[in-house]
Amino acid sequence: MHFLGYTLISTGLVFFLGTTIGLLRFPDFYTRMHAAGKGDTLSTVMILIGCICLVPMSLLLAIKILLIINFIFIGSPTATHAMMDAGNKAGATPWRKDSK
Amino acid sequence: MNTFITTAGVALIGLMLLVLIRAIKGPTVIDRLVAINVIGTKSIVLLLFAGILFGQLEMFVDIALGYGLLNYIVSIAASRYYQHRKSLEPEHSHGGSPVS
Amino acid sequence: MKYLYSFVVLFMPWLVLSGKFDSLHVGMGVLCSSLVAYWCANLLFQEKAATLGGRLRQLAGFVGYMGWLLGQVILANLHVFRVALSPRMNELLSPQMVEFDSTLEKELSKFILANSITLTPGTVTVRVEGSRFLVHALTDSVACGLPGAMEKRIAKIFERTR
Repeated sequence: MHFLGYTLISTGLVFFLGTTIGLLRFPDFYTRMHAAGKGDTLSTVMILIGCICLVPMSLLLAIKILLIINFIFIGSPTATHAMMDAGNKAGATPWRKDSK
Repeated sequence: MNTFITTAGVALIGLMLLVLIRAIKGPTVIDRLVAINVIGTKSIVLLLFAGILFGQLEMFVDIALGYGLLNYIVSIAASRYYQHRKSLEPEHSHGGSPVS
Repeated sequence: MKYLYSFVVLFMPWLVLSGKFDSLHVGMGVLCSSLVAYWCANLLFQEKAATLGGRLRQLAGFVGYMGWLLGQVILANLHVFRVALSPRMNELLSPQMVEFDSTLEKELSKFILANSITLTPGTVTVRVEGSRFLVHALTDSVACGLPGAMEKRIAKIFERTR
């Protein structure tokens, strides 16, 4: 159980590293959104499940953390969607391969 | 276990600082919004780590739950606001007040 | 019947969040949940014709779908990781907007399809208007595969009510 917790937290950190690099390197706002929307959700969920496995806690506390995971899993794609729509409506131009 | 949690927390703070570069540098408002959203989601994880290290997980889980919901509402509200703006890039709004 | 469903859905988070099981807190929970269920039951359960067995079957299908989606999210992260770390990133990327019509009719299944598109590799939903989906795709290969097997899975689980 402890081993599973260590593995999940480390994997979550590695995925968050990928998100960070994507957020810094991608050329325009739409592609950055891809990195943020996916990597953020999965790395947070993985680290939280790792915390449940690693720390001895009562059942009620574990259910509360599962509730947080549920909110993140529903809320994060919806927030991504709203920001993407805002950028599109405000007229952010998509990056093209021949633009630079 | 505490050593591992401390190391993971420090690594998380380092990666959040890298995301903050995007929030400071980001050419448009939406870029900053994305970066702030990612930092807010990761703050939930950081609050849980603090709870584990201080031995008061019951209190910090409640704070993390409230923080997650608030972060979600902030991103939705801000993106609804910027949907009605005409332009995002500062260089397009010559003469008028700067957008970002 | 929908009042009972709403009451159960509202009362279980109350128990989890309060964490106290004495008569005062549980009593307040019963009072608040029944009042909110009386006022807002139409918001949570809009289908008239669904039976209890149909709802339970939807729930079971949804749990299986979540397992499949979790695998897709891990694949999506590996995809983003590979694109972000490759030194020739500009050749790998060819972002484009794809528009398609969906055959789904219910609001709930459209919401789940939009969120699933955001979480699967290389695609993010930009806008949903009626049954028209505007999707931003990261590369050419994923743009061809839309909407893919996901829509059929969702239709199989959520469109039939009984």
